[in-house]
Amino acid sequence: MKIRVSKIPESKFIPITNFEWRSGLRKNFYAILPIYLLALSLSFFPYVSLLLLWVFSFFLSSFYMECEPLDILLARSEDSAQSFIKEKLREHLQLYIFITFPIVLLYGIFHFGSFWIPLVVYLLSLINICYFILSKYASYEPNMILKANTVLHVMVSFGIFLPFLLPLSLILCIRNYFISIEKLKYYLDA
Amino acid sequence: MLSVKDLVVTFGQNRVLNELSLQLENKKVYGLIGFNGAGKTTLLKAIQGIVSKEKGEIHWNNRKLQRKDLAYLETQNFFYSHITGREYLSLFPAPDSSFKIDLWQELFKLPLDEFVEDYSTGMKKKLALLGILKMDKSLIFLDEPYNGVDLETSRILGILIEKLKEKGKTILITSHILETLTNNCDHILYLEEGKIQKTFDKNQLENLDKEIFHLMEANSTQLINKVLK
Repeated sequence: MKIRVSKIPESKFIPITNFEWRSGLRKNFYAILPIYLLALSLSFFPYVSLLLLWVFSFFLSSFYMECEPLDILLARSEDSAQSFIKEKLREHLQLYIFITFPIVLLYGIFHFGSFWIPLVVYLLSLINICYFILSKYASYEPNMILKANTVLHVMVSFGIFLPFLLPLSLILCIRNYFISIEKLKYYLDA
Repeated sequence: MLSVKDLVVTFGQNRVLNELSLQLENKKVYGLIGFNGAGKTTLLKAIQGIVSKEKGEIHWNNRKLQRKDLAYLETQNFFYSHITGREYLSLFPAPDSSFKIDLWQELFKLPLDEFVEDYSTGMKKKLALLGILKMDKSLIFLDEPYNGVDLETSRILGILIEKLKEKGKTILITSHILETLTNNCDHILYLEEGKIQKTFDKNQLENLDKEIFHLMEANSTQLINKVLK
C-alpha cells in the first residue's frame, strides 16, 4: 500500500533533520503502529508491554543501517564532531522518549509494586538507541548501507534477555563513540 | 583555481591515479573523458576526499581544499526511500533565499511531494542535481550528469551549465557522450593510465573526435583485428 505524505501525522512532530525516523517510521508504519498500540493497550498484563517495547526498539535499529550522502552530513559542518554526535543523540533520544514514555508510564502505574522493572528495561533500550546511532557513525561511509552491523545490532538488542550480554551495548557505545568522533572529524574536516 | 599535484590513489595492487596533476581555472567548464575504469570517478572522489589518497596535494584558491568547498553530483545517488523530494531538498543548506524550489520543480517536472522511492532514475538524478544547485557552491563536480535523463532534461542541463558558468562557477563534468562535453566545456581533459594525458582547448574541440579516437582506439583497433582473425 502506498502511503502519501499528507496522511502521515508523524511529519508534524519529527523534524526533517531526523530523516532516519521519518523514512523508517513510514517504511514500517503498518508493522510499528500495531506494536505500539498493543504495547499501550496491554500494559495491565505483566511483561507484555515491555516485550513489545523491545520489539519496537528492535525495529528502530533498521533506521540506522543507511548512511546519508556526504553533502547532507556536511550541512551540519559548522558543528565539531563531538557536538554533532551529542546533538544527534539528544534529538533522537528525545524523540524516542516522547513516543515510548507513555508505554513505560502506563506499565508503571499498573505494576507499581515492581516499578523498577520497566525503568531498567527502558534504560537498556535508551542505551541501545545510543548504540545504534554511534555504530552508524563509527562505520560511516557516504551513501553506504551498513549490512555488516546487523549481527551486532541483534546481539545488543537481545542483551535485554541475556544477562551476560547486558554490558555489551554499554561497552560498544563507549568504543563506538570514540571511533565515530574520529570518523566524523575526517568527514567534517573538523 | 583548483590545483591538484602529484595525486596518487591505489586500490590494492592497482595504482588508479599515478602522480596526476591538473589545474582548473576559476569560472571555466572542464570535461573529463577516459575509458571505463580509467579513474574518472576515483579522481573526483579523491579530490573530495571520499577516496583516500596515498600522496598528493589539493588546493582551492591557494589554500587546502575542504569538502564543504565543493558540490559533487555522484553517478549514483543515495536517497532515504520514504522521504519526499521536497524534504530531501530541505536537508541541503542554501546560502540565501534565491533558490526558488517551486520554479525548479516547474522546470524539472518533479513530483516533489511524492516519496523518492517512486521516482525514476532520471527523476532521482534531477533531484540530486537540485540539491547540488541549492548549495550554490563555487566548485561543482558533475559525474555523468547526462546518464538516465531524458532528452529535454539533457537540453536543460546544457543550458544550466552555461548559466552556472556565467555565474562564475568552476565546473568539472565527466560524460561518455562527447557532444554533451564539446557543447559546454572550455577544456576537455583526457585521462589514461592514471594521468591527464592531454588537454584540449576550446579552439581544438572541432578536431576532438579525431584526436580522441586516435588516442583511445590505437590499441583497440589492433586488438579487434586480432580477435576477428
